[in-house]
Order: sequence, then structure tokens, then C-alpha cells
Amino acid sequence: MSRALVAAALSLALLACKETPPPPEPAKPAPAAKPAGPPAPLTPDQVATAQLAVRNNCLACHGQEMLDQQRLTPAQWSANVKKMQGWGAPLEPGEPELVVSYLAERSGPSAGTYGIPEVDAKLAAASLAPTPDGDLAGGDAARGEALYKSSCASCHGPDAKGERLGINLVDRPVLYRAADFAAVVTKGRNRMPETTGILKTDIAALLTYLRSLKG
Amino acid sequence: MKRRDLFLGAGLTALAQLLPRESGAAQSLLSHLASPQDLGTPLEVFDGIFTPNERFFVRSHFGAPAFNPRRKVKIVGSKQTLELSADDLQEFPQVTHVAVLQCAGNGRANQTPRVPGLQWVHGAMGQAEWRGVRLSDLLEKAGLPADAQHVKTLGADLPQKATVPAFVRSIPLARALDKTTIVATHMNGLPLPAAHGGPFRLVVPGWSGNHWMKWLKLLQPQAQEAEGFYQQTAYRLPKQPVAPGTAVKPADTSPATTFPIKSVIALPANGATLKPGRREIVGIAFSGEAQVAKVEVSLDGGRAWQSARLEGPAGIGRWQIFRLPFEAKPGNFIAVVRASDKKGNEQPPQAQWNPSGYFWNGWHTVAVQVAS
Repeated sequence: MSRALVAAALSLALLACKETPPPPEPAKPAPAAKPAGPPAPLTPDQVATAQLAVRNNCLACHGQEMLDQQRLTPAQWSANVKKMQGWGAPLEPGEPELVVSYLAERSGPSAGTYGIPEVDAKLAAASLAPTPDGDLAGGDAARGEALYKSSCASCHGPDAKGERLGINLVDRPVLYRAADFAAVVTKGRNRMPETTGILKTDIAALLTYLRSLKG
Repeated sequence: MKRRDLFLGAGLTALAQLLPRESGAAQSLLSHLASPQDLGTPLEVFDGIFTPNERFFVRSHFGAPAFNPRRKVKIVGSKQTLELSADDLQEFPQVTHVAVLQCAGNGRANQTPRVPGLQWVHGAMGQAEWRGVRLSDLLEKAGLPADAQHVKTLGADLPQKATVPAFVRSIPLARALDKTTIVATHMNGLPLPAAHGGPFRLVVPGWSGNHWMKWLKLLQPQAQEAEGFYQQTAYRLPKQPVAPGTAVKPADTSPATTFPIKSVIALPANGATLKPGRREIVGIAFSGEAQVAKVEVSLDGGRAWQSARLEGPAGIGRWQIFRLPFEAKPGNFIAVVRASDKKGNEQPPQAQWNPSGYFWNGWHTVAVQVAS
């Protein structure tokens, strides 16, 4: 069964749990007829599916901490997931309900105090600063454009400003941090797959091309 | 180096003496979100008039664009369209303002019931000396259309996807022409850092940070308020106070602009243990409405209040330091601070709840232990 089908089946099961139960038959009360209580905890499989959906959709644009620091009710989570779908988060059918349940379970109003991580201020500032190109300097823009169109544009869009699956690549600090850029290309990131065997001259070419695009 | 920079260099030495003492601990920020960067300033930094650039909070919707010191801002006027770089802006009269920059959502985490968004506690604020060019000078040179009522503003930070709304905002013309509204190229005497909007950003003293457009690339006088999510849906407050938890329609809201009277204790920290002896409660107080009139501190959880001493020049949208020396005796106590401004606005014990958690300004409380 595909992941989408699993998710759809799970979400149907979830929805079923949330429906108002039918009146119990006098002779044989159905177990589902007990008064509505807190929703049943997600199963490990449901958690795994939700985590994958979060990684593939939410984490494309913002870090996990954005989710972890919230203390929201299921209704608030649901409204936010809908908002993000409206903004282009490509959740598959069945995933929104599962993601809402997962986030409400982890980061609901009673989740306790969130400990804000600390970061070294110098490192934070340095993370936006350009680094030397090293052996990724001087790439060929025409080759970069061809590579981009054949391998990147299907997710990041023809103008590299972000589409359904990929985010904007134009005018980003990472374009001037060649080693970081190369690491994302080769190792992948969230739903972006790794690229094995890519030549440094090709990464350099992609960099030169992407740097030429304007916002 | 230009002569002006030499002069500023001399000024910096004096400025450095005013900067907060460094504790020797790690020079940290509170990482609400590493990417895109949303970093808070720790409370203990708020014991000085100026917040150092390095420890100044960072707010970004989509993350900083690649730093481009040659980026130009386009000003679309009725006489001409100007395209100016930071160097070009140096040719206009230079002005400085010391002003608080505070995110509208600062304190959101203190709201009950909780609301979605970055869960800032106190750290989304700071005060700096901003230097740049009056926005009114730029608009005058470009020419104001007769029907202009607002100035649309746009930064160079692109949304992650074309389907995500751009951070487009506008400010009313009267506020744009206010002499304190500037396009800043410098922060605390240094070129504006990338994380803070470099090479230039808007500075709108007294108004929340959503008006202080970073990485500025467009200024356009126009008849209407800006369209779009970030002007018409977000950064708005209910026109009338609502009960906590109430949903409010956009039509019943107006833009969140002037931040209200607020004071916060920097030191001692909540949960701190002090040695007995002469100690002090220190922190900051400010209002976007008027100068601070009074800061009072309670050392018994809010029963008895004493006036704290204010330090530093007073101003609208400008913070002053407050200090209350006291004799610390062994035991526990709860310190509370409250402030009022010269328009008679008083900091409330509980902030007015609103659906986006903007402008939290309840009394700030810290529990302190004095060792025996």
C-alpha cells in the first residue's frame, strides 16, 4: 500500500473516531458509545506518517522549532495547517488531519514550558555571511542553466522562485556560501533527495547561474 | 574612509562606554527559529540604553536575502523615480534617532489563551541609535502624487514560494512624512548588519517593527493602504477590546501601530539568588505614545510600590533605564514593575488579549531568593 493510501486510511480511522457515535443499541452497547473524551493517542505508525508529512511540508520553509514552541488547541492547529495549505504546503489527502492530531498531541496547551534554545550570537550572524567559493568558483552559467532546467526546475520552478515542492533559490545567502550549497545539493534536505556523483564543476555552474537570477 | 566615518568612529568610543556590560558568559541569543532567523535578546541585556548590534533581536519572515551592499531602493514619485544605493543616501542630510525597535508579537508567549506565532517572551525588542535619511526628504525629491495617502513598502526578502504572500506593507502618509521616520543605513554607529535589513531599512519610532521594513527595495506613495495578507489580515488589532479567546473578523480590526507603555525587569533574573546587601532592580521602560512618566517597583509581589530612578534621555518610543536600589535581606521576595507615560497611559496588571497576541505589556514579575 502506498504511503498516501496508508495516510488516507489512517485519517479515515481518525475521522471515524471523531464522529458522533450512533445511539447505542439497548441490548449490546457499542464500545464507541462512551462519552467523548480526549482523542486516542496516535499509533507509532500514525506518528511516523505525520512526522514524514511535517518534514516534507512544514520544514521546507521553517525549522521544527516553529512547531515545537507552539501551545495550540486542535482547532488552532487545524486553522494553521489550512492556512499553510492555502500558501502552498502540498500535503496529500489524509495528511492534514494526521498532522493536526500529531501537532496537537506534541504541542498542545498542556505540553509544559518550552525551553528556548540559545545560540552563539557571533555564529548566528556568521551563518548569513558569504564564505570563500574555493574550488566552486568560476562556474559556467550556461551549463548551470541547462543543469538547473533538467534537474532542479521541476521542484523549484522555472524561475527558481519556488513552486509546489521546492522553495525559492533566488537571492539567498546560501548562494554565497558555496560549501553549504554543495552540501545541500549532494546530501539533500528534507524532501529534496541526495544527488550522488555530481561533479564540482556542475555545482559551480549551478551557483553561477543561480546568482545571476534577480528577485 | 570618509571624514564622516572618522567622526563617527570617535563617537563610537563614547557609545561603547554606554553599551551594556558584558557578563563574560556566552554572548547568546534566544533561538526561537534558526531558519529563517528569529532570535530573541536575553533579558539581562536590557540593563543599558543601547542594545549591542550583535545581541539585538532578529525577526524575519522569509529570511535575509543575500547581502548586497549595492542594493538600491526605488522611490516611485510623481516627479521622478529615484533608485538610490546606501552610498547615494549619504548625499542627503543625515539624521539620527535613538529608538526602540519592538516586534508587535513581543510577549505573545505570555498571553492566555495561547495564540499561534513565534512565541516571543520578552526578547523581541531592543534600542539602538539609527542613522540615515528622512523619508520625507526622499519623497519630496521624488514628488508626492496629489492623491497619496499611504506609502507602500517592500523588502528584498522573497517568500519561499510564489504562493506565499510577499511581505508588503504600507504606512500612512502622515507617519511617512513625520521627521522621525527615516531610511536608516547605520545602527549604533555601524553599517546596518545583514540580519537587521542592511544595507537599509525603515525606522518608524514608536511604531511596531512590522513597519520598519528591512532590506528595503520599494517606496511608493499611493492612495490606498497596501493590499495583501501582511497589511489586511496580519498585524491588526480588534477595534474594540475582546474577551480572551474571541475570534475577530478582519473587518473589525485596524492596523497595529503604536506600541503601548511597558516596563521589564532585566536584573535580577527570575529565579536568581542574590547575596544579602545593597542590590538593585534594573530594567527598561518605554511607550510609543509619550515619554515615560513614572516607573514603580514592588518588592512584595505588588502590595507596596516605590518610585524607581530613571536614567537616560526621555523620548517617545525611546527607552530609559530604571533602577531601584534596595537592601537585600535573607528570604524570598517577588519583584514587580509597572510604568506610566505622560499621556496618562498605565501599564496594566494583565495585558489586553487579542487574537494574534500583539503588544503584550502586563506587569513583569520576577521571583528572587536572597541567600542567608
